[in-house]
Amino acid sequence: MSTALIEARDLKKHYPLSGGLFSRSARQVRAVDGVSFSIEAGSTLALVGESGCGKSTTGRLLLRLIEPTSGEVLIDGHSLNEMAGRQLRRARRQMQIVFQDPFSSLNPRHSVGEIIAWPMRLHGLGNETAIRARVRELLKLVGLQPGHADRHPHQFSGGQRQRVGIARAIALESRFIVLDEPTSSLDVSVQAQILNLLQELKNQFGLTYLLISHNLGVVEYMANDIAVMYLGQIVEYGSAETIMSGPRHPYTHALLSAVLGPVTGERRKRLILHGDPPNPASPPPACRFHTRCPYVQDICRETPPPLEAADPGHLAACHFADQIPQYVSRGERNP
Amino acid sequence: MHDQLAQIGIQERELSISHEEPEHEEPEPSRASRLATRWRVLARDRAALAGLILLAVIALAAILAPLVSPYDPNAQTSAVRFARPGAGHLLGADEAGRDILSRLIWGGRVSLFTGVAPTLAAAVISLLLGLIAGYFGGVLDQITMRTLDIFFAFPIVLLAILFAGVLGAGLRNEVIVITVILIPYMTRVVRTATMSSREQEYVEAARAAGAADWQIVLHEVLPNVVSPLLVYAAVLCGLMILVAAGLSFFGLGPPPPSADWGQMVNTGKSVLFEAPHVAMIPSILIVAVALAFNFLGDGLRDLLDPHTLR
Repeated sequence: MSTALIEARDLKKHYPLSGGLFSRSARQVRAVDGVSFSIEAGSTLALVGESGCGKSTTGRLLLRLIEPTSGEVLIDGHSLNEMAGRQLRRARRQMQIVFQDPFSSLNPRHSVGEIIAWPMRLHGLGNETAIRARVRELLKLVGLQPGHADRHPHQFSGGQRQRVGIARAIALESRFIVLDEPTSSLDVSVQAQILNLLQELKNQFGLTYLLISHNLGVVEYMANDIAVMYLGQIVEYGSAETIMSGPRHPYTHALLSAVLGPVTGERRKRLILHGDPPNPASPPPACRFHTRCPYVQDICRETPPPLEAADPGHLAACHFADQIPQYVSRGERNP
Repeated sequence: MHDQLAQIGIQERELSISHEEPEHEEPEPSRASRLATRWRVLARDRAALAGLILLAVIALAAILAPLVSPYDPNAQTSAVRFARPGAGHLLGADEAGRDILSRLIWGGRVSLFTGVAPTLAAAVISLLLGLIAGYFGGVLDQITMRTLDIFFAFPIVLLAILFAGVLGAGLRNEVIVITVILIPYMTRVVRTATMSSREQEYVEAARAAGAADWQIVLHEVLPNVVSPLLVYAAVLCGLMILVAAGLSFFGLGPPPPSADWGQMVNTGKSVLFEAPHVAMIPSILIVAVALAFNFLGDGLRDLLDPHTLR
């Protein structure tokens, strides 16, 4: 069970900042700057962070929708970035994506049936009759009606469109699916339905997910492991339980403080950040979080903290991971 | 579980009713009924329908010219010179005593052809240029668009006269000239539509599914480009009939005595005060056809919008 289906190795994606036609640009945005993680088959890893932290870029790097500046992605131990031609096409069958925006992700000119069928046609999976039958089956699987195949995307609600997007993603019987903020643009009541659908499909087909989200409620419900990103780097990594209950990085602490929730009786120390995240074109030196960190010390401005184990299996990139005030004091939790 | 869900702001009650979004089974429209819907959309648009009917009548008359034209368009009868519209010659006769209605019908062959043929030719070339420039971008895009920008620097008619002057008069050259004029404009429309389509997530989904660039262009981008191009082409058809008439007016169209509308206006202008109908009647027809194409273009835009496909 503990085999990594997908592994990211020191992924970097730097975008050059062009200053105009004739100026040579040395500056670049480090959207993703050295990200490594692995996802076991059948589990869900959540990438969490505020907008602009590079989590969506990381998702696209995993599927090789964009080429990394350096680093590589392994699927089943084989480098996706070294593949080409037929081999790459076969690998693509294993991995799909569900997008945030259910409007831009479905071509308005095609019927829903055509949208779901096309990936199967591309890979030559069966004749027209078989594909049509499979489309009907997929529509039922995601909670739509088989008769909906002839309709166009604009005839559906946001939630229904997202179901179409999910049907397309599972049409190729892929094993790995990137969920790029799959519920962020939906009504709250519909969000739960979509999340349940995703969980059901995962259980039914043994899918592996990378869940990109800024909503920690969604993440807690879905994820086995959590990676917290800040300015293109992972600052904390661990199982969902340990991170939700005892974050070691002040940034994660702040993220959790921002979750709206009912008063549950636990006494939580909230940590509110001020200001915007720094410009990723010129990230702060040393610890990238030091400009907003309430516990900042001299060492934070001089030495970048390594991402190292704070507890077994729980990594945090903070010089004071062991010392910062705890999110929920351990004494209170385990009396 | 409750705690987690409450954090997303969802109550258990809502979850228990989840899964099936409230759904009422509607009978699916058949292909035939969807065609009928399209037709209803067009029929509701009075202006577009009027344009379509006018163009159909003129095109049919031009095609069936030998059957429907009352006289030989080039037969000169001095007795009826400058005859006013009325019995015998329905739309009167011109300075050489030729029947105007017959000349309009035969001239429709030339004028419609010089409007429609170059537009179609330019549409095909522009699709190719615009899709490549817009989809791949970069150097290819720069070369294509900067070259076309040169053409944008000149007014259409000036450019037409310039080319016609170099190539010489005649129907074939007129078609070539108008095609060349149209390419920059149509390419720009195709390129813009391509660029906006390329940025959509469905293109990324196609790439994730393993589609090659050419497959993405044909399956995902092209359908989003064709309809704006078609609408634009319909409008340009009308404009190009005006340009063709203009070229003929300047003597750069097909040589006389072959009838075409622009040339009829040209010859009629010298007798504008004695016999205004000689120039006015073809002028009115040219304007009417140009307008008809415009209305049809507007109607097509509504018709091709997927949102009208209820």
